[in-house]
Amino acid sequence: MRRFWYSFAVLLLISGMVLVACAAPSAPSPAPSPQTPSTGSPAPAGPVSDARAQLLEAAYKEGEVQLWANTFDNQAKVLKPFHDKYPGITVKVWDASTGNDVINKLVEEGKAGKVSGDIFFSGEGDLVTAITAGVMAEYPWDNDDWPNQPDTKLYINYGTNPRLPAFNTNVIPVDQGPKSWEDMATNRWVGKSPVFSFSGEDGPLLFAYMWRLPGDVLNWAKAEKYWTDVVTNNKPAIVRGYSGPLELLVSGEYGIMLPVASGRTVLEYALIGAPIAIVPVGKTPGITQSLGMVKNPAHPNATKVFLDWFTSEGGQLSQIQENLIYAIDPEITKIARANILLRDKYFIEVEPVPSKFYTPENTERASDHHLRTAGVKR
Amino acid sequence: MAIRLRLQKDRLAEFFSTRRMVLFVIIALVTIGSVIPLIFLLWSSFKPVSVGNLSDWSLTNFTLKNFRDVLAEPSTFLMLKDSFFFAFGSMIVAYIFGGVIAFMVERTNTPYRNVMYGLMFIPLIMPGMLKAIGWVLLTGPRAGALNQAWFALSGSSEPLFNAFSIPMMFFVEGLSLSPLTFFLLGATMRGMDPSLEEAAYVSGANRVTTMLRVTMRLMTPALAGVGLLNFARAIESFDTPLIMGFSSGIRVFATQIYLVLRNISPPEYGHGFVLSLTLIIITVAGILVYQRMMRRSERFATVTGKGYRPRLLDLGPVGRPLATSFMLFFLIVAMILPMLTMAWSSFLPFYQVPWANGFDVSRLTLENYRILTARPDFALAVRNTVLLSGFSAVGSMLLAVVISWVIIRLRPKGTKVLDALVFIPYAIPGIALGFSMMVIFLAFPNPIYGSIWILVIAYTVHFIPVATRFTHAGVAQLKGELEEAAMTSGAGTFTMMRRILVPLMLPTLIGGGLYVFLLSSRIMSMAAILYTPDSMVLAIYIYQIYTEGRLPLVGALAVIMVVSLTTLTIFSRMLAQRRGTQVHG
Repeated sequence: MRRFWYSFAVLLLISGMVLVACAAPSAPSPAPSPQTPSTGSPAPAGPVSDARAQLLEAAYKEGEVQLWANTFDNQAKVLKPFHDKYPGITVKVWDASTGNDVINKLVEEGKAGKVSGDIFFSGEGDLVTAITAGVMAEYPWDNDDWPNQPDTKLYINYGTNPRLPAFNTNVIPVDQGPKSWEDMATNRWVGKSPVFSFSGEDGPLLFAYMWRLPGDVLNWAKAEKYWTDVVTNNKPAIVRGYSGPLELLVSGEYGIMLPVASGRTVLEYALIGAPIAIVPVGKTPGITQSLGMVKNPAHPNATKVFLDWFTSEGGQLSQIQENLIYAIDPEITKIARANILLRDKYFIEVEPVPSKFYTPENTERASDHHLRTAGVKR
Repeated sequence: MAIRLRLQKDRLAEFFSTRRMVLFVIIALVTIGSVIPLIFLLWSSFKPVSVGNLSDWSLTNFTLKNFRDVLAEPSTFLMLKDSFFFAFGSMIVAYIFGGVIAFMVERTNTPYRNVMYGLMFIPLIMPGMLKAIGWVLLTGPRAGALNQAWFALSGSSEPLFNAFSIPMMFFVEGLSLSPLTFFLLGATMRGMDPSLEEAAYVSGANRVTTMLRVTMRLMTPALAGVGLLNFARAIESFDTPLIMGFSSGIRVFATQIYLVLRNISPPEYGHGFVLSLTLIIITVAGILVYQRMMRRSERFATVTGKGYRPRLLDLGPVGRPLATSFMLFFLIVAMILPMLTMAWSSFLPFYQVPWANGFDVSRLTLENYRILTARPDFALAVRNTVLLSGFSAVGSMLLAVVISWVIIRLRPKGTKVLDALVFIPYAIPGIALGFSMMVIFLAFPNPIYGSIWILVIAYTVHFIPVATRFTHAGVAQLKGELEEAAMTSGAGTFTMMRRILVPLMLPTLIGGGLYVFLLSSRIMSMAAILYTPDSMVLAIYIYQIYTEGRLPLVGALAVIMVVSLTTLTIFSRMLAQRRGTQVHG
C-alpha cells in the first residue's frame, strides 16, 4: 500500500513539477497589514481618510474581487498597476464566452444566495440585459464629467470598442477592397471568403443609430435592410465570436469580415504588421464598454476599491492603452492610442450609441434581426 | 435478559459489519453520482424551468411543452441527422485506423508492431480540442497548409479538404477514438482461439477465405460491440464539434445542448434537458448492446488462458512495408501533423503558413512562451488541472476497486442493478452532468460550489465507469484465497483491501489511473459549466485563448502540455512495467 501511495505521489509530483515549472508565479504577494501605505497620492487627514482606511482594511480582509467579463484581454498587464498598488487584493477574472453566460450564472447564483461574482464587465447591451434580470446593484460613481452615461447608477460607461470593417490584403489587394459601407452590401465579396459573426447581437442597433433620422429617430429600416443585404448577397461563413475569426482572417482563411469586426483587435493586428486593412468608411459606430457592481457581491469592499481604481485616471489609462479601447474620459481621449490612430491615421470618426437607446426593446429587436439574418434563430 | 441483550448486540454488530457498511456506502455514492443527476434531468424535462427557476420540485406544473418545442424546431432534425452522420463517420474512421492497426499488431508479422503497441498511447495525450485546432490550421479551405499545398501542386483553386465540414469533423474524432478501438479489438484478437483457423487451413482454405469466413465471423460480436461503443462516445462528443462545427453552424447533440443552456439569453433549459435525455437514451442503448455483444464475443470467440497465440499472418515482402507505412501514416495524421502545426504557430506573432505572401522569418519569436507563462491564469489552470486530474484518477480508481470487489466478490442481491447504476454517469452528457451538479450544489449551503472540488467530484463520478472496466478485470484475475486468508487471520475488510487487494492490483491501478488522468486533463464539457475563476482548468483555458484569437498562445500551450504529459506517460509506463504488468489503455 505504501508503494502505491509512493507511486502516485511521485507521479503527481513529477507532473506537477513539469507543468507548474512552465508557469510563472501568479498570485500577488500575501495580504499586507491594513496599515500598508498606498502608493497613490496621500490621503487627506480626517474622516475621509478614516473611512478610506476602514474600507481598505475590510478589502484586504476579503482579499479578492471577482470580475466576470465576456472578454477581458491582456488581464495581467491591465491589472498590474492595481496589484502593485493593492498587493493584498487579487483580481480574479472569469472570462466567460458570452455576456449571456455571465448573466445566467448570476441569476442562478443570486437565487441560491451564493453570488460569487462581484463585477460585471461587458458591452452596454449586456449590462442592460443584466439589469432587466435584476442582478445589478447601484454604485456611487464619481465620474460626472464623462459623456454618454446612463440615467441609472447601476453601471458606468467607460469607453467604446469601435466596429471596424477589415479585410486580408493577401486575399483582397488594398486597391480592390471595399471603400464604403455600401460597397460591403454588394455581392462583390462572394468567392473572397467573406465571414459574418453571429455574436455582437446589437449590430443592427448600432447602425440604426449611425444612420438615424432627424430628431434622433433610429433608422431601423435602413439598418435591417443593410444587415440582410450583406448576408444574402455575399453568403458569408456564419461564425461565432470576433477574435477567433479575425485570427483566421489574418491567416488568410477568411478574406473579409462583414460588415464589421472588433475594432480594438483589428488595430492590434494592424500595429504588429499583420496583412490586414481597414475599410475607409469615414464614420463607424462603437459598442459602449461598461461595468457595474452585481447585487450582493461576495467581496463588497474589495469591489469598491477596484471600481474606484478602475474609474480613476490610472485604471483608465491601463485598460484603454493596453486594450486599445476608444476613450471617452475627456482627459484620456487626448492620449488614448485608439483615439489617435483612428483620428490621425485612418480618418475614422467613432460614434458610440447613447445610453438612452440601449433599452431592452431596442436590444431585443437588434438581437432578433441579427440572429435571424445569421440563421441562428427561427 | 443478558442473553437477549447479547443477541441484540450481535445482530447490531452483524448489521453494522464493515462489509455491509462498505456496501451501503457504495450504493449511496453510486446513487448520489448516478441517480440524482438522472432524476433531476428527467424531472426538469417535464417542468417549465427558466432562469431563476431552475429547480422546481413541486408536484404540480408538469408539462410536455419542452418536448413539443424541441420537436417543433426544424433545426432539431438537422442536428439529429448531423449528429448521426458525425457519430457513424467517427466510428468508421476508428475501425479503419484502430481496427486495422490492431490486426496488424496482433495477427500479422508487420515490422515494428511491438513499437507501435507502445506508441498507440501517444495520440491519447493530445487533447481532442488541440487536435481539432491543429486540423483547422491544416485543412482550412483557403489557408489550411494541406489545401495550400494542393493548390500549388494541382493548380486548382478548389480546396481538397474543408475543416468546417462533417467529414473532416468525423475524421478528427475518429482519430481520437482509434487508440481505444486498437486496445479493445487488440485484446480480443490476442485472446482468439486459433484452433478454428487451423481447422480451416487444414481443410484447404486459403488465407483470405480463412480471414473472411472464420476470423471475421469470430470477430463480429467484438467488432459490433466496439463500433457501438465508439458510436455512443462520438455522439456525445463535445470538443471536436465545438472547434470545427459550432462556429460554422454545424450542430451536434453536445454543442446544441451547450448553445441552449449556456450561449443564448434567456437560456432554454427545458430544451437542453430534453436533448440530454434523448442523448442518454441513445448512449445507454449503445452501451447495453456493447456489453451484450462483448459477452457473446467472450462466449463464442475467445478462449483465455491457453498459453499460445494465434498464427501470425505473413504479409509478404510487399505487404510488410505497406503495413508499416499505414501505421506510420496514422501516427502522422493523429499526432505529428497537428502537433507540428501547433508548434509552428507557437513561434509566430500571428498565425501564417511559412510560404504566406510577405512572411518574414525574422519574425519567429519565443515571445508566446513568455507571455503564456507570465499569465497568472495559466499558472492557476496548470495547478488546477494537476489537482483535478490527480484526485479524479486516484478517487475514481480507489472507488472502482471497492465497487469491483463488492460486485465480484460479495455479489450482493441486485448486483446487476449496481453494475448498471455504476455505468449511468458515463451515459450522461458531460454538459448535462455538469449542469445537474451545479443545481445540486447550489441547493444547500456548502463550500464546494465554485471551488475545484466540485469538479473533482463531477469528474470522479463521471470516470468511475471507465475505472471499473480496469478494476473489474483486475479483481476477477485475482484468486480470492489471499483475501480470505487475510480475513480469517483477523484482518478487517479495510485492512485486507489496504494490505492485499490494492497492492496486488497496483499495475492495473497505475494503468487505469493514468488513463483517467489523461482523460481528465483533456475534456472540457463538465468544466465548461462548473468552472469559476478559482477553478479554471487547462481544457477551458485552451478554448478561452482560442476564442480570444490567440492561436500562437494555444500553440505554445499545446507544446508545453504534450511534452509534459508525454513525460508523465513514459514515466508511468516504466513504473507499471517495473511492477511486472504492461499497462493497457
